Amino acid sequence: MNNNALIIKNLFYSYDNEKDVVNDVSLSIKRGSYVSVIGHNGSGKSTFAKLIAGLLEAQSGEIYIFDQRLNEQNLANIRMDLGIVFQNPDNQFIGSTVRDDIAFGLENRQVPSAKMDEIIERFAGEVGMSEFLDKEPTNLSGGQKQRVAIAGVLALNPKMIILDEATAMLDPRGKREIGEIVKGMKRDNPDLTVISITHDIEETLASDEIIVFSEGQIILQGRPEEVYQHAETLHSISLDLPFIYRLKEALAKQGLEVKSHDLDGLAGELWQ
Amino acid sequence: MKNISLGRYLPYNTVLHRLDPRVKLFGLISFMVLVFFSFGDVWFNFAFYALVLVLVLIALKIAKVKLKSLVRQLKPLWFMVVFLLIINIISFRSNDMNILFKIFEYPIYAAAVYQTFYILMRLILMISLTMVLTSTTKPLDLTFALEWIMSPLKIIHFPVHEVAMTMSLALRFIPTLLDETGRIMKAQESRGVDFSGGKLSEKVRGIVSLIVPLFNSAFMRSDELANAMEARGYNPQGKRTKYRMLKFAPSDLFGFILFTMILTGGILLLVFKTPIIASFYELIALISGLF
Amino acid sequence: MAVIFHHLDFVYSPRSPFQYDALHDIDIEIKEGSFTAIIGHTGSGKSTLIQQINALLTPTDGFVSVGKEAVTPIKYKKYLKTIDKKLKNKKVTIERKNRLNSIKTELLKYEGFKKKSLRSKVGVVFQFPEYQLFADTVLKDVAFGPRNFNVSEQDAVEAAKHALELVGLDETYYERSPFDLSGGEKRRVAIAGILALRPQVLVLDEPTAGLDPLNAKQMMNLFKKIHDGGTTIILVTHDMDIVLQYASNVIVMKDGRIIEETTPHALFSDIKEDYSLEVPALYAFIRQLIDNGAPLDINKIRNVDDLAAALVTLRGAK
Repeated sequence: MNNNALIIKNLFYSYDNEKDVVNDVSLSIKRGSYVSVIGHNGSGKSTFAKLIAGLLEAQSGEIYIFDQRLNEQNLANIRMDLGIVFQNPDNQFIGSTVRDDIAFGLENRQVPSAKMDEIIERFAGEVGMSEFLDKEPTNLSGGQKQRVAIAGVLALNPKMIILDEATAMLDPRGKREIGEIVKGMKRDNPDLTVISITHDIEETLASDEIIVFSEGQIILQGRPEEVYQHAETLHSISLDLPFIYRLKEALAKQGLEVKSHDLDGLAGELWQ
Repeated sequence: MKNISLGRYLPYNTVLHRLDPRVKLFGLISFMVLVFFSFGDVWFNFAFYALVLVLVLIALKIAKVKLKSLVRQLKPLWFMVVFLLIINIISFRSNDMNILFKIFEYPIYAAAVYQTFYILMRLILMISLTMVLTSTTKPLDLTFALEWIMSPLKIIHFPVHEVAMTMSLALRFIPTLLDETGRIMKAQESRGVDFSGGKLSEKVRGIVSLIVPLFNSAFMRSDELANAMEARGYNPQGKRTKYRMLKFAPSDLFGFILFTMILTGGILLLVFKTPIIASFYELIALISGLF
Repeated sequence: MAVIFHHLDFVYSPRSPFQYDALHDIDIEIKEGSFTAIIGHTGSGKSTLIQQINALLTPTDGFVSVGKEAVTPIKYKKYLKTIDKKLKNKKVTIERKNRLNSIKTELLKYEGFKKKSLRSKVGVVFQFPEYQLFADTVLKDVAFGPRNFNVSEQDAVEAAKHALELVGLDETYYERSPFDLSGGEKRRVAIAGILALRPQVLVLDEPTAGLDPLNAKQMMNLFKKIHDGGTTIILVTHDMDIVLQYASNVIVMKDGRIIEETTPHALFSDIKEDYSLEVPALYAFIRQLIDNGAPLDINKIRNVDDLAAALVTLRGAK
């Protein structure tokens, strides 16, 4: 059995009057990886997310999700393995309460009604929303609503989760909460593949692999340590480096090479 | 703006609150039907309305609806009633030419006044009944009740589930949209729009600057919502299980039987009105004879 | 034009089951020409505070002065009378009377406010302002603001063009529909809509929220440019890096009160736990090094380059 969660071959997509274009993109992502996708607005990363989620149809190229070719016939089937969390906390909250929202996916999946409460309570607990089960969305913060969205997705037991700029509209606390939940998710489910399209450069440090988009193409792909070596390339496409790499860059300019790839290690290395 | 109380749901735990929404809906409809009965005899009609009014007041008491709220709901009616009264009097045509009294030689026909009174009573009763329903029933439960009632229509391919889903989504988004309206208003006020005062042309410009963004935002929302629903496997035509199911309890059966009895009682009164009205007058004669 | 809060209180839905005390005894001056950041946890009252400045909300007690105008709970003269009544009332506590006296003394220095005059002097841009766009063309939308203040069509269009130039949108955008633009462009049109009013005070609520780093940087540089031109900037934000880089003053809010007024550097050099703020990565790391024993002078370090230089020096000296 193939070990790939996602395989993309020569994908092309363009809108009529939008700038986002996907221009001959090919890649493969292994099962169980946590991949961050970054790139400035208009780089194609958002379109890419919608294409692999099946919300847009590519003009040409192939997408294989867990070895199934993504097309109109297969879409419903593939969606059973796929969970997507969108950017706007309100516009994906369907139920009138937290319970009902998590139940929505279960209803679609024809889970027996008798089993639903148990599942709802379990996954609400996993995202820390057990105390809020009967609350309405107007009484929840953005971060809380996104947590419910994640619970709803996890409750359907997907093999791959796509986070489409899921923290873009949250305040710093909300961003942190979601970041913790995603890390926890990966810890509890090593087999779960997570693809996170994000602006939050610090978040990418937690991932196994980073994919950098620019002008509709992938220009860098690799582990964070590898990708962030290419400071000049990233600067040229107006991307920032995470703090630790900016510091390393500044230190290198002063002639000081350091080895650590995390802040604690670096603090120790710089001064004991 | 969230506090618009159109007979809003009050989270108490009364008998009526616990009653199945379908039964309550049935109760509402039964009473609405009764309210439109007319027995052809003025005094009997008054007595009948008085009886129904008593029942409705009992229901209001049970539902813990404050009479003050009810009166507030009814305030806009007074103007309409006076207006109706005048129209009725002016356009009156009937066999019954009983004159009640005269204003400056202009005859005020009894029948016209009675007609207006009936209309007033019906309005009061209907509004009160609706208030009982809305203050004891969560809007969402009402949509469940409506969905259940509509379900036989599935046979003629009426999109029952889609209608129900639309209703519950609308309910879910009302507070969100209200919030958005407030936000847009604040933004436009910061740009010099005056929503309260101003000339007509200014008001129009103001309203446009509110409505266009609101609609635009609503369309964008529905687009994103549709994507989200689809991504979670939603298929309106497909089979789905239901998380929330209305459970019929013995107390609900009791409520149902009670409403059925009341409705039937009313119908029987109507069918056998002649002998009953006769008995009614005999009863009055008897009672007045005692004094 | 200074913005000064005088013992300002604000309560949402007073005397109702939904009553909420949002602001308590706000007494602070935002200096003319400053670039003041207002920070604090979500729910600390920041948004409520800025809405008092252009009278979208009016205080429950106390007032805020904007230049010569005072935004009072009720009309100026009536308010003074109410204060006088309370001062004569035996049931009112001495504490309260002192406060009222304070308010009255200050209030007499100002005059009553007019909504329209105020709103042309104070421009407020809310979070995600794109939702305010509604006109057929970009130019018409941006000119909408000035038009509401009885500016002639011609002058309004001129002001609009000037504002669009400021935000970096050229003539090719004039006739386009605002709904056809990208997110970043929409935001710039919305901001231009406020800039077209040529406000003396510009209030911004999280202007870079949801923007990618490049657009965010461009946006902040725009505000810096406007600030350099003499406009007072009041910026509500959660982004501490922005505070560090652009603000001259910082006001820290917590639970409806102002708990500190300081400069960005002073704030981050010694940030207190219970402010519930996200510390910029730079300062958190410096703290870590200092805890490890490094003799760094936090006051001399403003960015990564400063830190790198300091570290190299220190290690060389070891």
